[in-house]
Amino acid sequence: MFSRTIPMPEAVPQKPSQSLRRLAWKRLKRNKLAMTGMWIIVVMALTAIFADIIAPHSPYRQIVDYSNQNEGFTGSVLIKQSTGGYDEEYIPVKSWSLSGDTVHYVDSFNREQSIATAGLVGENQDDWYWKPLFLLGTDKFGRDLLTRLIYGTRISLGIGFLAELIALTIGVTFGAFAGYFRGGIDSAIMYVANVVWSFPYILLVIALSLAIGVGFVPTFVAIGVASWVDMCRIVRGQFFSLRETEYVEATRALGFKAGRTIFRHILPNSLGPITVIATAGFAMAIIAEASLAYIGIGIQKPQPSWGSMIFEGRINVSAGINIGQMIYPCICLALAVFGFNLFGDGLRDALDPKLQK
Amino acid sequence: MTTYIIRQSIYAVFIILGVLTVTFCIIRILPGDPTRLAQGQRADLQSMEALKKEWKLDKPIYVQYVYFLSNAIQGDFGRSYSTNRPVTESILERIPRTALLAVSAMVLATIIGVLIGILSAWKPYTLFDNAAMVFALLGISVPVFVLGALFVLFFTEKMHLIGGTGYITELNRVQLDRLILPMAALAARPLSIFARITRSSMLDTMSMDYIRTARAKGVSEQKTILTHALRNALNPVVTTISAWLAATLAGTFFIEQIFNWPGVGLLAFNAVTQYDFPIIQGVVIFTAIIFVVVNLIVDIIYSFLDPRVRLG
Repeated sequence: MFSRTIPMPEAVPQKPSQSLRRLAWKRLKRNKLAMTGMWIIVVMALTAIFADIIAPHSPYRQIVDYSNQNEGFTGSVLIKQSTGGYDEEYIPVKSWSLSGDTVHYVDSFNREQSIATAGLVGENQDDWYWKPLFLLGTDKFGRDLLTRLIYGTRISLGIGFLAELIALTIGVTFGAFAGYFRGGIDSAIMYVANVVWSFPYILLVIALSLAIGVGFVPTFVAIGVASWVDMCRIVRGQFFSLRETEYVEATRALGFKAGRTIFRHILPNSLGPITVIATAGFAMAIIAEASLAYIGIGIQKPQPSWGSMIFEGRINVSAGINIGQMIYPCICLALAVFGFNLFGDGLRDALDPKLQK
Repeated sequence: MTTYIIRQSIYAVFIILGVLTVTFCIIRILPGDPTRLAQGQRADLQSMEALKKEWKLDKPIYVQYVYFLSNAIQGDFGRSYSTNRPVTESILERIPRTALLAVSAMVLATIIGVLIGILSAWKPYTLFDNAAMVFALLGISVPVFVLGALFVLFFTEKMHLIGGTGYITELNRVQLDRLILPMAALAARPLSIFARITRSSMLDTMSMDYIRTARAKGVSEQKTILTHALRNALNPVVTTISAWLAATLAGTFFIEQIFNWPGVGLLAFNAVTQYDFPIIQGVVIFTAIIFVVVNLIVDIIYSFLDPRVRLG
């Protein structure tokens, strides 16, 4: 006899429910390029935060005799106690010998000199004699290139972050209002957005920073104020479609105020596209900062910005000096922007429902 | 159709009005006394007062605004602080040189960018596609002044392929080899963007049902891609190209400085370093107007090609 057994539903182990965010993260992790981008960003961010610990030198210390040195140059200096309010004085020496309390040395101009150890820093030889290594060489003022690149990361990412924060605030607020209230508010906001969008981005940033001023704060304010339009458009589009969904209708039926619906219900569901645009905006802001510094109206000397380092490096390269001064900041700048673009691209793919497999 | 064109044109006029207003506001919050900037540190009070009157700086702000607008409508953007020549004249005489650079860069970017995009979409996720897209992303990531500087370093100073920078006319002829490097440097970024847009738009189109139908009924692969898919995929590409034309004009700002190309970009660069505000203001307004006008024209052409635009 056949016994027809009805297969009983076994207790299938329930998969933990996959939220959209977790699915996106899973897809993102599989994307090698996006992960590369993320690691570039993480390493650069850590470099920026711990610049003081990582950097082998001070970004401002000039040893003029060691200007324009090649990679891997090792100096030899005596550290003298300051006489006029400065921290310390560095005397580059070709050779030296200690006899009693006096150090006899040959300076950069082959002159024989001597100095009493009492005038030097510290107690013993390890305190006042130093063989500084300049891994990537020095610039024209004899400052360590690697150190300035490391501090440049801080300027670049710091300004990128703060500028994007401003752009994000303006863009999300305007976009949310335009998309939620529509009508006259929408037309007015989109008019302003279209006007700002008509300016060539980089020229607008330049004009704004000429108006606001130079230095750290004016630079990120100028960049932020110029770059909110993309964000505004994306958020507006999101609100346009999301305000028609049932859960938003439910909030209206429950009598929630507009602010609560916008910030607690619609905005969290637009976080994906907002993150993608913010990542791209971060990359644009880094380019804008470097551009301003390149022209000479952003971060001011002697603060190290990759943009101004490229400009100075270019002049030195034309004079036939070590090309590293120009190449290394170029690489850093391109790498940072590349990292953000790689990550942003991967993020967009991961959040795209059309690409879900 | 006519109503659509009129409506778009009126909107464009309002946008330009907005551009002028924003520029006026930026110029007004600039630090420093414009008359002193114009006449230098040794200017005497009398001539400064006279200039203040001439520029209506002693009048209330709304009078200044109306004065600024009426001058702008007549194409008068004041005189350069450093050369004392009319701004409009200085810009107009340099526009052909910048246009030569920007347009040739755009043509190069469009041809190569769209071609790469099509090839990538034709065989997606192959080695060529992956390599092309990584390079395209690199092209977007390298700022234009970095690329320009690297080009000068490697091609001119290290390899001596192209002799020096600059814009030299012999018997009024442009030396075309001087155009190659700045054009390539300027084209890199739009080229990468066009390649990416073309690829993703083509991929979207290729997954449509009518492409499957075309393949099913035995249309050759070449014809499917080039006539069926490409024609529909080009819409977003055309929009992107028109949006980038003005951005490329703005990109000449750095390229002309690096390659010593005496166009509008170099004029603006020098103006920024000399704080010559009328020139900066003029260049910003000119570029913005070109952007608005190009977009208006593209919008109108578009509405002929695609009725959904004007009806939607």
